[in-house]
Amino acid sequence: MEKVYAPQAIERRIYERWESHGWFAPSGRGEPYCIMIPPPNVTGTLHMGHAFQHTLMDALTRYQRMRGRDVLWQPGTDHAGIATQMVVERQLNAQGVKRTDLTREAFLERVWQWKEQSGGTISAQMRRLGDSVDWSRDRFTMDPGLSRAVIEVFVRLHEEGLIYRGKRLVNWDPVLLTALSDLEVQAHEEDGQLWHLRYPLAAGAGHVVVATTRPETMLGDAAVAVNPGDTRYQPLIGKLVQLPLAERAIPIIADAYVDPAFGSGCLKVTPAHDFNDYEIGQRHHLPLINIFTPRATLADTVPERFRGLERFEARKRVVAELQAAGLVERVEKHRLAVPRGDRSGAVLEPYLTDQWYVKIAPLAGPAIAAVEQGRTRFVPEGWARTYFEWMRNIKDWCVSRQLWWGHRIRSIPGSPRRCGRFRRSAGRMPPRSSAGSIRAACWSPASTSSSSGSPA
Amino acid sequence: MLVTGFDIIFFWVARMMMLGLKFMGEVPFRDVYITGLILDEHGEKMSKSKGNVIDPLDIVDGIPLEALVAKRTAGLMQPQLAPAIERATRKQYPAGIAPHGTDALRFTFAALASPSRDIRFDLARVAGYRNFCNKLWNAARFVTMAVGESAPAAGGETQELSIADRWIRSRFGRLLDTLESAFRDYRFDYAASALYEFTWYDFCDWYLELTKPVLQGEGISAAARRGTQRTLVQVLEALQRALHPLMPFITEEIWQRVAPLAARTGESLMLQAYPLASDFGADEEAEREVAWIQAVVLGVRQIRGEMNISPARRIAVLFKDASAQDQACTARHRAWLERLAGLASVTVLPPGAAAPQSAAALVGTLTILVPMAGLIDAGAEAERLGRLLAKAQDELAKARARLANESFVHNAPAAVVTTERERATELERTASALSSQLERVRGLLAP
Repeated sequence: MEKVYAPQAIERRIYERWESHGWFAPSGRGEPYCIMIPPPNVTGTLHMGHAFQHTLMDALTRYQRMRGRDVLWQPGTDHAGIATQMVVERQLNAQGVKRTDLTREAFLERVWQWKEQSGGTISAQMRRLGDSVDWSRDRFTMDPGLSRAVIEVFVRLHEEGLIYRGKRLVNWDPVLLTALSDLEVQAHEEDGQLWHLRYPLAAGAGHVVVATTRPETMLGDAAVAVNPGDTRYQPLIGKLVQLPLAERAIPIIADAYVDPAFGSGCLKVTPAHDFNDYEIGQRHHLPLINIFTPRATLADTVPERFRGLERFEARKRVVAELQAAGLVERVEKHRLAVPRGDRSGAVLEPYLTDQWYVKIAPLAGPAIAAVEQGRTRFVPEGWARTYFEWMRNIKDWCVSRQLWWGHRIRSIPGSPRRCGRFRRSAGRMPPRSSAGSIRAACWSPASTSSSSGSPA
Repeated sequence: MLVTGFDIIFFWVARMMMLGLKFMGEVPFRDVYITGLILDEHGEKMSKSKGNVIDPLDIVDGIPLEALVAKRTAGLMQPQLAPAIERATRKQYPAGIAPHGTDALRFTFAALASPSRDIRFDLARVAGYRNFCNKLWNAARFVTMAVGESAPAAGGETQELSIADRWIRSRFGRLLDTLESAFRDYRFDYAASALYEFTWYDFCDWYLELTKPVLQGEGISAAARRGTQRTLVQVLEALQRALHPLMPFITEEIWQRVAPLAARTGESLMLQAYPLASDFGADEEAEREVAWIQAVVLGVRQIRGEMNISPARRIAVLFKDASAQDQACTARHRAWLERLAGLASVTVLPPGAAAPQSAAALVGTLTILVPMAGLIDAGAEAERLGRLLAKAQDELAKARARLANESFVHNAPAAVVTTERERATELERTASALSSQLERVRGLLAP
């Protein structure tokens, strides 16, 4: 034996020998044992967390293989949607190119190139770590097989009525121009202000005072809400207020959500721009007045002088006008939780968009039962509590994103009877089925269902 | 099964469960092992903006300081953080990061994999486990050289197992029991520490030493030598199989050399069967006897340490209140005791016999005595101890005064006060130990 242990002299050689002999493939003998790798994102390289988890997975894989089981450690990588798109966009920006300067095809070419590079780095790292994965089965979340599976699942869920198209408030990133799931939202406390505004009653003298951190959204108010038990306002329930600036009348409604102790006890309700207000709007059948464009500038639904303004600029103008009209009772400093997108850092808008949702409750039931029955267990077992808490409070799942780098699912508005018979179109589309037609989800534009559950 | 972090339960595990049950009709995995989160040595999350990111392969292959600085300061979302990150990096890694090899990194991760939510990663531990790899490598060299080209396990020649051979086989069996539960319970930390302790202490520190008199001594039968050689290769070979899941590379390399000597065939270690505890049954008697040997040796070493006797110096020991069992063990294992404890002689005192001035250590009911006459310069030693004691008492007085000072206790940061309290306690212990030492040594001085 060599006098000195020199890892660099032996590791690569040993791994190459293992791999070239195909010893990482399942033996075909013994009780099956399989670990699926959490597929690393092709956004860069493996970090310490990966190395840690891979060590544990490889230890289990090798141990079980040596215990005579038929072992597969399934490798793969994840296309990671928005994260990868942003990495490539940043690369382009560094070269002075914007994503929107390119065609979709050209941009995707660049992303596929990056995917090769990142994927290559990741697999090289995995080999150095000694990962005994079966490379012959390496998968990518956007490879033909998995892309086909995504479409198949989507269509089947849709056929069962578990996927619906909904006009719902989503966490909208006005910079990236896409919806984000709750999990991509970071809300931090920041310094802001609380404006106390006067809304005059439509009939007679008097006014109510509403407190808001977002004066610009008043242009989309649909009602003013008070707590039904709040004696100060009971006589006003059902009466109208004249909404300043927008020059329309909105009703005073009673809803138990209102906290009589916050501000004046009157809440302005903007169903199209606040998640809680949306719920109130649903309960009271209030109109959804969307005052923002996708880029969070003011839309044509507002008085002309405000149209096109950026939202925070609009805030200044609205406040100035209200002040001039003597309608600002007072302003105070206020700490509030501001939601920002974890990728762009932009302040997110609750925004009404058409999105695709999965009805989750029918799927959650069996998944909860499986853990309750011990068919799947968490180690350490305390994590089952976390799982249950989340699963029992789960909301419908918004599965659509406005991205270029992702699975494209063809959806055709029209009669469901025409489904499955559409010709392939140009572009990087999913592969044909054997009949030459493609799987597609058919939906009727007339039925934008407002099923139970709200977006997650 | 699935191994993932707790944040992924929402993103992924739950959704896989739902869709897997829906479309495959069954759960996608039976076990979901949730790992802790890797943090830096200060308990901070590793992030580019904090400048504390380490690429795992840089720990494996090493990275020069300049390259490390460049990596940490390039492509920052907030470039103004670069100077501070550079300074901190230069301070913490003045010589860059040395290469540690994959196995040391993997073993570190396993050792850290407790069920706790946060896991503090410390590069110093990887260095420690790199030393562990060296120790394993050197042990393998010792064994392959001691056994030579012959394959002692082959053939039906008789063999005699020494008590040490039986002991190490029994200890290895216990290790395998521990490993079986550890892997079953996803306690990689238990697996790692059990493997470390067996390899470093039982096998390298003790067993290899215990084989030397058998391998090198005179008057040892061929059967006895054979027994020890076989045990050496068999246990070393099986140990590579036991270690392989955690440290695949070094074990494969060693195994290729050792397997033929242990009459095992196969193209690769990774295809071998994991060792079975049933092949290494418990041997209570051997464990008892070697435990006795260890206690005596450690007792003598303790005396050496207290009395400041050089390890190179051979000393005569007396056994007082030796039971029949003690005497039997002494007779059987005299050679080992003399070799491992560096003894010139071992004498069992008859019951009731007076003993000269000695330093003592206890092994159960047995007292080990090391007569001091001529062994140490009692006067010089007393002086040395006296100086140390005075210094300790002086520092203790100062610490106590500080802690009695109201304004210190109230105004200094809590952490500082706590440290001072701990220091005072430590000094008390030291002063007390030195004081008893000094008394003992003074007792040796001529009246």
